[in-house]
Amino acid sequence: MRRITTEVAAVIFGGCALAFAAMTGWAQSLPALSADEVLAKVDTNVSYGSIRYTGRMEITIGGESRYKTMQVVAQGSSKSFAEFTNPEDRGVRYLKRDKNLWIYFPTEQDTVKISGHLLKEGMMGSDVSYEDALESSDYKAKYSASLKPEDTVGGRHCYVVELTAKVDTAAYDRRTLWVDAERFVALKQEMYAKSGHLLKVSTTLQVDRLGVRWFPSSVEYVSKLRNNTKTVFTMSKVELDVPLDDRQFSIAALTK
Amino acid sequence: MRRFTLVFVVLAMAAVSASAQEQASWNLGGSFSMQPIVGYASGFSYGSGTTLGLTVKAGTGRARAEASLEAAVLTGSSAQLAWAIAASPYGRKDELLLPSGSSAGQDAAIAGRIRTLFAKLDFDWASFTAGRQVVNYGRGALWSPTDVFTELDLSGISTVRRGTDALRVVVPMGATGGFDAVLAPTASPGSGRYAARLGGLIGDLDAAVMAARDGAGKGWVFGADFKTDLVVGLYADAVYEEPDAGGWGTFRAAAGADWSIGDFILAAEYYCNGGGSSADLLFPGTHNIYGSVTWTASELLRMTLTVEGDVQSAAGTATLIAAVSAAQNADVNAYLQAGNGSAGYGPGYGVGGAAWSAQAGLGAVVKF
Repeated sequence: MRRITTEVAAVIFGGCALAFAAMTGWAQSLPALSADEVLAKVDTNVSYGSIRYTGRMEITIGGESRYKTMQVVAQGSSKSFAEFTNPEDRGVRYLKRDKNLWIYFPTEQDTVKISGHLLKEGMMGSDVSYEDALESSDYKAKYSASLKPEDTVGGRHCYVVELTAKVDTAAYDRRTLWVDAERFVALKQEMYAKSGHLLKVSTTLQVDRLGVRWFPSSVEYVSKLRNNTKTVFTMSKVELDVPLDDRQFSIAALTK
Repeated sequence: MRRFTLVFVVLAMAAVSASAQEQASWNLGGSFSMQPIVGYASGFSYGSGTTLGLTVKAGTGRARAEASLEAAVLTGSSAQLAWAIAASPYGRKDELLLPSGSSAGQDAAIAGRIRTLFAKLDFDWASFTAGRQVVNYGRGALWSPTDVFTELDLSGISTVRRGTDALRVVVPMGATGGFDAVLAPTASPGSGRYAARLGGLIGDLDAAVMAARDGAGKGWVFGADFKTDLVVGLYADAVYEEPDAGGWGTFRAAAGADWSIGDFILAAEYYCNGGGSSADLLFPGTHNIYGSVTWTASELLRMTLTVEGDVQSAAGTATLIAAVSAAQNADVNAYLQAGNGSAGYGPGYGVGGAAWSAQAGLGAVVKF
């Protein structure tokens, strides 16, 4: 009698587990794609010829929050222009061309060339670096990729892709992406320094449909070098592949 | 001077005309700050400054105008410092300081200044700016010998650049280069200041050459400056000044570096003034050094230590500033400054005459 009860329990438990797996899709293995194929699909979503958006950074330290707002235009990963619009930083402008960054301070009417090492620093005291905020994520051009075992993030199945920088212009030496298997958007990223230290973790909070693409429009960055801080970077009024005047990415535009 | 005024009026009219054809926009921003201070020289002194700054900007795609005004109520030692600066060679006649006449020198004063007041027209091929504006040449954090226009105001805890009445024409050359001409005539045009600068990005080198005419004393000025990245940011800035009286001219140069290590940003600068006080009233010493360390303890707290000094006379100033973001758009800062008071060094330019003095202050700034 006891043996029968155990068998019945095993059948019931097994049936439930199978039903749960079927419902959540856990039992289904992801379509077999190579790392490069996954990366190409991610690039299709998040790389662009040009972009225009309104940005908002909400920086949280402990229980305190500060926000900054900006208007950004960018062309690929080489040119970008940002103007801050929040009262504290109103009129401060950034011009980035390749690895060169200039900042215009309206109070002093001064244009200052910023040293390249500062590109990896947090922009305006946030956990978002200049490169995070102002560059197109053209992963395939900058990183070589390899697949890791599949995983889930927020209940969504993900390919896990490990990227290793193959060019000097890559923002990070190594990064790991958890790529949504359905929408091909990185839902989570870990960014590493050359030394192997984990620098930052980002989590995608919102994914929007823009035409045929899925676009991560709100991302939370957590610096692993600081305690108790995070920055949520949100893009709204996003326009992709809009025609932009090249003069917008000039020193003259900084002082307009 | 009359011609200069005429050009200004024509440009302003053109700006208004252009504005009429496109949708205009404007905004008003500013700051309100309060700063009580306590100082010690031969005895304790107390003072305070309450300042309102307003900036109005209006414009369209091609034309815009800007006015930036500051008004302050000063008490105690802050008022006394303002009177002393006004009476010194660093004083400016175009800045308001009340009460005037026989009532001057009181322990309370109202100060006012127009920092900027200009109209600007931007075309694709050139931009024209007429009126009071801050013209920034050079690269230095503190010293820029090529900057023939900017006068520094060192009376606060951070350096402020004063505006210059000028007509400026900038012709872009590619995305990162340009030709820049500035005319700052006076009532007697021969004693005005005029300069031209040609600069751009060559490889990783952001460089410029300049020539200027300073009719007020320096004669002809020829200079060059650059900034580049070699793991650390490196920059330099040098001029040769040839006096009208003939003879050997003077050479002045500044060179510096900046770099970051984790949460620290470091900068160091050296300034060689070959012309003494006639070339640079604020920093007459031959060899001067400057260093700063900024520690971003968190996104809400930043601490900066700066040290600057004249190597030969051992005159110098050290300033420690802690800035805390207290709320959205509101900062609280505290500072401690000590120096030996000669020329540009020491709290308040050294116009008080004390050999050694110290000052501490607590300030609050709200921006809107």
